[in-house]
Amino acid sequence: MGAPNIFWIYIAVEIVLALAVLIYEFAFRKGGKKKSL
Amino acid sequence: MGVSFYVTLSIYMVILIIIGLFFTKKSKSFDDYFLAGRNLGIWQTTATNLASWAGAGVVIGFTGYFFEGGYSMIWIAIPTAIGVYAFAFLLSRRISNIRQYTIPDLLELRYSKTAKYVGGVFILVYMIGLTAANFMAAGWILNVVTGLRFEIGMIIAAVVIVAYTMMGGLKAVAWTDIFQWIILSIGIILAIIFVLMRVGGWSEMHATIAASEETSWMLYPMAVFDIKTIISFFFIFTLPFIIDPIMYQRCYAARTPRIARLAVTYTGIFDGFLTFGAIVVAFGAVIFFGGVEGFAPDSSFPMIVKEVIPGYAGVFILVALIAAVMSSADTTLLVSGGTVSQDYYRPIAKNPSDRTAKRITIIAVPIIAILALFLAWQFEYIMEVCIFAFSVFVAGAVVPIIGAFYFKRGTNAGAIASMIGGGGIAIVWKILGEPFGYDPVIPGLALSIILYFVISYCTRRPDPSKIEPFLKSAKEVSKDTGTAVN
Repeated sequence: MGAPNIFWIYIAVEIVLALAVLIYEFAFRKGGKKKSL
Repeated sequence: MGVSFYVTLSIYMVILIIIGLFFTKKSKSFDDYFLAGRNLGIWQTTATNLASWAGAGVVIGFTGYFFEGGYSMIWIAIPTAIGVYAFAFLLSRRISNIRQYTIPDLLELRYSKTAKYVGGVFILVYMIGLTAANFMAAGWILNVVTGLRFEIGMIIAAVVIVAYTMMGGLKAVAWTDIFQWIILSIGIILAIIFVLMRVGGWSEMHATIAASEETSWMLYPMAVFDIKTIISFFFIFTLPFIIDPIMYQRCYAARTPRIARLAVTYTGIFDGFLTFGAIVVAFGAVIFFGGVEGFAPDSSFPMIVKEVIPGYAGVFILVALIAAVMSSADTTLLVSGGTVSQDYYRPIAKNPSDRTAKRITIIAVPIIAILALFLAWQFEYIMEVCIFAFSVFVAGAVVPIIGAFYFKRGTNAGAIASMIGGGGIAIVWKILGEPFGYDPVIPGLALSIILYFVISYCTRRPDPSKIEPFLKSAKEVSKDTGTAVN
């Protein structure tokens, strides 16, 4: 008897959204320079 | 547990005070005090986000909610995750580039001073609500461990938190947050390991819950809430994180826009880990204390640590819980203090010096703490306070804030009407006892959206100079420069 499906749906939502933001940031954006005034 | 708990807690509190004292001298200007000189690196920004995030609501209140409602509570966790990642994706970089101090500052830049004052009221209600929830959690921990009255525990925790927040500002908070976050992470991992060992593992824990007629309903996600409530949750728990003043402050304080976005994303990942911890500990509490009459759900986490986890591990986890609560409360206090000085005192006093603004922030912190203690007295459950604060905040503030970035035609009159109408109806709806079973956020948000768009289209277009800073950052996003240009 494991966790119900809703738990795994939650985990999937977490993983998909986190990966989407990280991949977008590292693959499509430049970063690292200090903010301007 | 008695003596070792007090010794560990005392050492821990002394370290916090030392960090606070160390940064008193380092925080010379208001920028230093409130935004750590806008120079936080990735680990500082992440840790301070995480530690502030993982407060009473997530660690203790959420465990209490899972104890009471089982997997139905995942309907709070899913929209929360969506809210955090939506904020990371849509707004974190833009906010980082705009370089203000608070959300009301942003409202002034985009709309007017009046919008700033009205928006500040909602920020304060929200922040005082979250501070109250953290004080309640601290009260429960000290009640379970020491037998002190819940109210006395709240006051003791409030005094220590106010002391070190007043001393060092965000620099102190950022460093104490790193320290507190490490302790909390170790504490939660230990709690998960010990509880799973005691209940026979993840599968056995679920099998035990399923085997009893009294608890088997906990495994069904639709057992507690109807569809109307679940829809409300998607508003109540997604939207506050898109306009969360704490996240805005951290984005302003991050050294670069990339740091701002990554820190928010890592916060979302850590939130998933905390939710998993809350589920394990709550179900452990159901197995061990489910039949105990008069058992307070919010005391699930501290009780399981006290009764189930042996020796010094238990002491360490309890101190970690206190760390979680304190690191959130210091932030909500600091942001509230900043709102008072930056959004109300500065414009009224007509450009006071940075030193004076800093002093006003420091004076505001204990006053906010007293208001939070007063609010905490009015509620029975921690999450009840959180939901009330979220509802009023979302109904009043979310539309004009998101509109500032994404709706060029949004006007000052539309924003003010939307805040007063949306927030006002949410409070009235709550006082009326939530007619038709709808959470106050539903009518509040609906009215806020209608007023914002209708009145914006009925009034003169905003001055292009008001929109420029917001569009400029939008252009930067599309040009993929990665930094602000000027």
